[in-house]
Amino acid sequence: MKLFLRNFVLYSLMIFLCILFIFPFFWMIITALKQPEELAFTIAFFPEAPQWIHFLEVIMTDEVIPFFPSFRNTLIVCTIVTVLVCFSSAMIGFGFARFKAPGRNFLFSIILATMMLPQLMIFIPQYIMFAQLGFLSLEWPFCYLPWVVTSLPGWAIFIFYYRQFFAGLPKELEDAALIDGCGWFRIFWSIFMPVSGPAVTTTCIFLFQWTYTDYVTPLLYLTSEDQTLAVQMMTNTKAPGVSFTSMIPHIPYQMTVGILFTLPLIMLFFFAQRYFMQGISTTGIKG
Amino acid sequence: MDVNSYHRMVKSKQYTGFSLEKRKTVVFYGFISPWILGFIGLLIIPMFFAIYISLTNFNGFNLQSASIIGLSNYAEALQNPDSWKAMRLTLIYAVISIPFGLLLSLGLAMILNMKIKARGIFRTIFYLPTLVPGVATALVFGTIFNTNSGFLNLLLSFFKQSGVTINWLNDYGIYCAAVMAIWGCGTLMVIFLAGLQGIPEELQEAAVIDGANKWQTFWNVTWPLLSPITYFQFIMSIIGAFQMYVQVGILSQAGGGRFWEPYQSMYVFPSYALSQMMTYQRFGYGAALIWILFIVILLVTLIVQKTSKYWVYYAVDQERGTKE
Repeated sequence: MKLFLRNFVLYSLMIFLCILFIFPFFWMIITALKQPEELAFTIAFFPEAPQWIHFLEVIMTDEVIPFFPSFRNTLIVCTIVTVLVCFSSAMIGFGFARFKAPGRNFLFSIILATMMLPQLMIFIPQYIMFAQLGFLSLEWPFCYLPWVVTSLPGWAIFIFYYRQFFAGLPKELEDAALIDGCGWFRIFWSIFMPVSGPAVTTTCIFLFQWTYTDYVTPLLYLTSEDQTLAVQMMTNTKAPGVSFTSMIPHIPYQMTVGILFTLPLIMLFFFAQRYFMQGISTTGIKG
Repeated sequence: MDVNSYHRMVKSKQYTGFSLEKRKTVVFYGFISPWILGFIGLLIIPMFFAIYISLTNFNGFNLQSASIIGLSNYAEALQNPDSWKAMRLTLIYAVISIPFGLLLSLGLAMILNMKIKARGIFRTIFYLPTLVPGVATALVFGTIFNTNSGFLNLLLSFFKQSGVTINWLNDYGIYCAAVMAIWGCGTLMVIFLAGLQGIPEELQEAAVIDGANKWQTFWNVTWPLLSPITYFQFIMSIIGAFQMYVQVGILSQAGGGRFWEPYQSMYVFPSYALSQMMTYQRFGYGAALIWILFIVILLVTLIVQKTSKYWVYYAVDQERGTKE
């Protein structure tokens, strides 16, 4: 009886919390289906007539938002960051894991220290410097240069992650190759990278997620046509055919874009759940 | 030829003229050279540049016309009531979002660590919010807290007589941002869960056999073993909370306001610094504000670090405890 009561309380609490956590998703869909008028003038829970057409309007027409061009820009930025950061972090992590050299521990402790450095302190000075160097007014494809430049040195957290990963691999891996006269870069690229599939997958997933959701960097560095979906969604969503004057007539459309923008990440999560959980729990990586 | 003779051959310098150690040093610095370049070019130089700018009246356009005005930006920051107001909001946000976020995620992780049904589903549900991009999250919470059509005011209209609405974003903006942050506590939960699962069950069983009740088991076995993780997450949460500005910016944008200059109720310190730069072109003053924020974060983390020896238990101490 006591166990039953305990379980009852426990599960009710969990279900209650689940409802609280799920609710914003539910509200997101409900709001996307409402008519702009409903949001402006009345308070109602359910939409009068669900406007599924919002999804079609967002995807098929350019009247709401240039959806696919913006999405393409997001993917460009994501690809640049994911590929470059993953590669260079692995290379740097490999260096720290497999060589004993003077200054190694000191440099590694600097990397750990930069991990603790508030991002704002790096990001804003970088922006001021890039602006002075003229990075802000470049034509496509050079407008993505800030991402290339900031990705090449790798990210501290992933350098740390790869170092831990490579340090755990046996020394025999490189010895055989060394005897055969293989260069160190070949050893890294042809022997160590192929066996580090899980680490690469985890890194790529987190890099993709962070770059995909990033708002401020594209807001600072990109202009209208090259802009990513995250920024376009906030700044450039219009409500087609809405004539009344209201503060926020475009909210249902914005929400529709928001749902379409969120879906790829949720799908990615369900396909690669294992890597998400492993990545977080082994490194303490936090989104 | 085995590995040792190969090493001997390389060491005898007949092979390359370099000893293996020296060669390895060169290769090591070759491998990490991208990081070294980035560290100097993208971190050290910009930071010194930002220190220099904070001493000038730089307007963001023309560095030549900026003149050095000494520490007066810093003096203004300390005298301006706006910066104190902004710092107060940042502190409120930190004081609410950090403890509640940590406690909720720890509690959820403890429950999910028990043998309950549908653990995977619960875990997924609590983790899902962290997958939603910040823009979409702020948009949703912006409409939940909306004055005209928001869900909270809809709820209120059931209890109070109609016509009574609260302008959540305008009056309680920083609390809305804290709620939004707590909604995304799923990553913390997963980290705690991994930590809990790393604790050997024998330890807890031994405590139970020794007659410890649930609370004692938690307090004397689970918590000490979890405290290094808690400590690390606590520090990272502090760093994150003190530089939070994107969320309030988008939240205010979702409510019809501006990104760089959010509503007064959520005009946190980083927003204040950035709006001085982006809206008022006062880059010198903004840079000074950012350095002040940096010093505040540093001080707070140092204080937490100093207190850590009273509540964080490391495995080394544990071993010593059993040996004695």
